[in-house]
Amino acid sequence: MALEKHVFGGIDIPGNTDIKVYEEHGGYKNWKNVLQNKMQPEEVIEVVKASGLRGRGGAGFPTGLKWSFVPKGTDKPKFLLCNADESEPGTFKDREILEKDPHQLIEGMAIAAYAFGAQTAYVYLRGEFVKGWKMVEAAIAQAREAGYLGENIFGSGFNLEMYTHRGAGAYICGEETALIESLEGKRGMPRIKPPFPAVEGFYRNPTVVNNVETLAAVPKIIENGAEWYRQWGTEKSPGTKLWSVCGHVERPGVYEVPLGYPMKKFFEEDLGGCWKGRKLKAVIPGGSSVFTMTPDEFLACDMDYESIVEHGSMLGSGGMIIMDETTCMVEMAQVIATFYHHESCGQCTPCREGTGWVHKMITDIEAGQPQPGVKDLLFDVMDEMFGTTICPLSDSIVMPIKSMMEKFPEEFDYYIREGKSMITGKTRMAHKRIDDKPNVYRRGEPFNYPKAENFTTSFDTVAHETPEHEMPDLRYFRKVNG
Amino acid sequence: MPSLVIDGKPVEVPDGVTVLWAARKVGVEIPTYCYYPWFPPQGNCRICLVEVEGMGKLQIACNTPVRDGMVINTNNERVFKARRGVMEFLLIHHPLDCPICDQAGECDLQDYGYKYGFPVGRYRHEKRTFPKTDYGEKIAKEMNRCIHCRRCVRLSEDYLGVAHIGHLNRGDKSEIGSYIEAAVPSGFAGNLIDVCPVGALTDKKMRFSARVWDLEHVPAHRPDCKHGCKAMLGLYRGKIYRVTARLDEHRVMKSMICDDCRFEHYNLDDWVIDENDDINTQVKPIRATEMNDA
Repeated sequence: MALEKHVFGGIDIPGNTDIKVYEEHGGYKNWKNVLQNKMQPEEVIEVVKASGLRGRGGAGFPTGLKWSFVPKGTDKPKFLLCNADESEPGTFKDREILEKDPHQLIEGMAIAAYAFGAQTAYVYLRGEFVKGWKMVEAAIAQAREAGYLGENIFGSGFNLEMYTHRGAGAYICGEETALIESLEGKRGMPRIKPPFPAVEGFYRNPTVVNNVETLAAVPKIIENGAEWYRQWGTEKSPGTKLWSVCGHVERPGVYEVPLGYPMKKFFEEDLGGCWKGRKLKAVIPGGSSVFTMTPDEFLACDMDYESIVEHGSMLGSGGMIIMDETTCMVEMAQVIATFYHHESCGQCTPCREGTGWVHKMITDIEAGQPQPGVKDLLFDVMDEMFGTTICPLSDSIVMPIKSMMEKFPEEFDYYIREGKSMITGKTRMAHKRIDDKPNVYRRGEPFNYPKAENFTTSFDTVAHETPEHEMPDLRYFRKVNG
Repeated sequence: MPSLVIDGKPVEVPDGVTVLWAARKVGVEIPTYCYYPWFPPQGNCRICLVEVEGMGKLQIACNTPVRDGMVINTNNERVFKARRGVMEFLLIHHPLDCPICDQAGECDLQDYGYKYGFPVGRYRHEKRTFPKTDYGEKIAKEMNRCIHCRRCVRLSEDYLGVAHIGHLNRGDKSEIGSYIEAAVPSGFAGNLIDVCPVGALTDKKMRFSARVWDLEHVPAHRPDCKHGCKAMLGLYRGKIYRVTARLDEHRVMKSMICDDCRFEHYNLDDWVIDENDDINTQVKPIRATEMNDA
């Protein structure tokens, strides 16, 4: 039985990027209703709050609550930003909406903007989404022509202008404050909080940043009510969610799945299991930056925020990466480390230096020339990186790699010991050998690395205060040397 | 007036200040690199992490607003480990050239390195290096020593009014620099040297000529200066080796000085010695040349 698309059914309607087709299927009806029936902004927020819609970008923050944080009665202009900078490896759910159903997104954005009083909205697109950008641009033009956007919409006195902006290819601009910085024309680097964007965001004005999927779900919730949306999902995470499934799986693609759906059923019946009849080895359920799951954990959990956390991972953005038994986890870790090393913005110290260091150490393992004690050192360095930065990019490299090293230790041990992969029998990074280079560590050179636990200097000792009995005896030194 | 407890010391502070401010008030030392009172906090060096009881993650002291009833630990094992981690990351690419570095002796990285650093390096790869590019004739830039605190970027944007310094590239390849390797076109560009907490920006005139611990620091001003700069002379055997702005106990500039004072006047006759290093008062000026007699 194929899964039915309830909220994002528009994706499957051919020609739905045209406003006529979209209107035929009930499009912009809700936006019209909201304005013409004089639905109050507070009512809209209440409906969304009651529906329990949570942010689909990764953090899962309740959307209605986010809108209600915007201060009321300020003179400052308010902004709605749509985060369409979908760059997470393994995630491609927003692209479907942007390319095949942009009008539903625009309608959702219009309702959201009305709810907290924004008069300007931006769609921040990933620069590589050229087709999606064209579709959204065309859709905005059509909507403005039809009078759904612009000044004094349907005589209600509400103005809304919508613009698109294409990013320049930085993963970090998917983080909401970095997105705001980038949209302001600055270097895309996350800001410290507080102040939160709802208070001081885009050009220091109240701003809400929402994911594409979150905003696109709003029209259907307004149309059918909160109870309708709550018929799917669990108490804490109601509704449906788009999952993008890729990797070694029989039927990859984008699926709309009610939250709380059993993962085993989804994997075996809807996805058809691993491809070529192979065995499942590991899964990253939330788009490369969350903990890796073993098959036991994966098949035992349900597809909602809480259950996945219970089973040792996070839902994230819903980009599921399936790995079969032919996957070498060391290689996978190296690929992930390469990505995050390349995408670190260079602001916070632990992430700027740590991502590169972790990447180099794992590459060394794959080159067959790890430094002694590399595994302990990797764990140490990743502990130092975890949770100490402004944005979660530093955590994003730590979570998948650390969980891989914990859950598949024998593969890492084999690679370190033998210099080749336990699965493929090859040394993938052999061309990165460092033997010939000067000034770098060479294999076999004896060196004992102090582990952090065994590190003798405790936190209250200052290194330069050497106790007197440990000072070298200078009189003896002079005597010997005449 | 929120009242909070920092390392067991109760303190009452005005509303809206940060944990760092409160800690300095009770005399608890929190290390900082990117924090500079002249600019809004940036929060990217991560050395000022403190533990706030009730919050899961460690918080940066320079941007955490105080709340009533906060309990803050700045000196326990967990905080120490986090700071040690930050120090290790800062030092993996930092060159071991303290013996020839002009900043040595008044370098924040050295000070906190003693306190929080590992005794040995665990990094066994090639260090990241950059080609040498200076800011014009007066300021030497050693990018390899930079810790990316962005104080110089913020000073040039917010105070010098020239956005000539920026962040190039990203990740661990990121470099602070002016894109065209040019001088910073400002009459106050020399202050970049004073805001730099490490030896990345140094005075070209003083380069390799003296050690800062040998210098005798004398507050002085120059009657001819049209800006009225309050400077600090670095004297060694009666000769001026450098001129800097006056710094407070946290090595924060009390005021900027102009490039004319900083680079062009190495003759003691030009200067008038001030009695103290307060920038607001001047009592009983004496000519610098009379100093030895007095």
